[in-house]
Amino acid sequence: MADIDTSQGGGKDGKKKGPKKVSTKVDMTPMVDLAFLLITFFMLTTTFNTPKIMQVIMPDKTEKDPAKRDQAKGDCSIIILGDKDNKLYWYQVIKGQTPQLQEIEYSSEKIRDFLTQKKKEIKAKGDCPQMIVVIKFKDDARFKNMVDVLDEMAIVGVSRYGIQDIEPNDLKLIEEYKKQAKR
Amino acid sequence: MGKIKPPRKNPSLDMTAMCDMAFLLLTFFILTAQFKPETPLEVDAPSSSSNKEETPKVAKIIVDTAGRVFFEIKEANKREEILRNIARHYKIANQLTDEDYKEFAGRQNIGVSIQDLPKVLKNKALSNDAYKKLGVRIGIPMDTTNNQLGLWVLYTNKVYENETFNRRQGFDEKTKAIITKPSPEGLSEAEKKIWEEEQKQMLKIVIFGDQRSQFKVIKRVLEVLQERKVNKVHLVTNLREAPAGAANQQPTQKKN
Repeated sequence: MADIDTSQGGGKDGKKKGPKKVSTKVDMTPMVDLAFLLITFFMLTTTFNTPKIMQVIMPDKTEKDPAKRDQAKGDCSIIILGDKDNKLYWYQVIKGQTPQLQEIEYSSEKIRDFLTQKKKEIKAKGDCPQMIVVIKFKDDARFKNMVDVLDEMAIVGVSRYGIQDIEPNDLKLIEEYKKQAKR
Repeated sequence: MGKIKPPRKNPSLDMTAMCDMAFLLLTFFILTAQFKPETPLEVDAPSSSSNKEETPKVAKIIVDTAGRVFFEIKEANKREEILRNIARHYKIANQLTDEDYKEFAGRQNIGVSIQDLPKVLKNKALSNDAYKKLGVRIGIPMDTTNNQLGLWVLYTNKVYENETFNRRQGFDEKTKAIITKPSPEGLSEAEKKIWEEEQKQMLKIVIFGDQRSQFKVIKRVLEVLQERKVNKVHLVTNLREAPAGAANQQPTQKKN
């Protein structure tokens, strides 16, 4: 294949030259081709196969001290609710006011902008050391939603957050919001 | 006048050296390759910008879109011990022979209830179809009345705790003080290295969920883990590029 026979075709002029010499060279090209094909295959299967992991810290369920558990309430914190069909809402619990649910558009950029802005606002108030985010998802939300929100938290650098069970109150808020949006 | 003919050269190259090198690389990649574990479940992980890599000591909870749960112990030499503990707990030890334990040690993951396990191991069933033929339901039960996933987590934790305890026996007091810290804050560079090294040796519980899995199932898994006092969980994600200035990227780590 890669060898091209350039010998001048012996025995043309009638002279006998004895037994024909056979070249001992083996054409390696197909073998190299195969080897590289296999290398490519193994390279692709190995390097892309180290799974990446993301750490999540859950609240300690055995924590009985209510002072530690209820930190999340008040105006230092925001609550994010996740519904099915990639819907995200948020509200804040402020004493003496009914919570106002607002929707967050579902895209990485929008969630990130929202978190960055809220972080700034809450820090500017001064009486909060850092923003606390409580995340609650409805049962029919998807795992992807949870990972997306947690990822944005990590990107923005919100270190205090918790995943909690959704409460009937939250469900009611979502229902009301949906009704209003229809009108 | 005769023209000067350039001497004819043979254009062939000596491929031997190239071939040698190619096979050397090939051998290297074959030896280092780690293939995807065989799972009867198809799981498509969600993406995140976290670039942390999985460590060897991992127990993985696999959740598929239908909400079925599998349990995977990555280290093959731990599997037998964990199964022996489980078998004792469920009093099925008399149904399992040494060969079954060996068969179990060769498996990446478990996806049936403990009662069905002897049957599956004896028939060497691996695929979905084989499970169906045996009449075995796929997925580890984890409801409150029959929480087998919790037990797998419990005994896996126990086996690894023993290992950690034994390993730490040889350490001096100073090293022990470093490695038991909850976070590497306030440690010097050398101490940080020791701390990180130790973290790699610790068991990590990882959830490998499909991105379309219902949150209900994931919530239940997290609940089971919390009941077993596993509050630090890891999620398997596909890497997607983080935006510039992200707080979670290693080189430019900022604190708020």
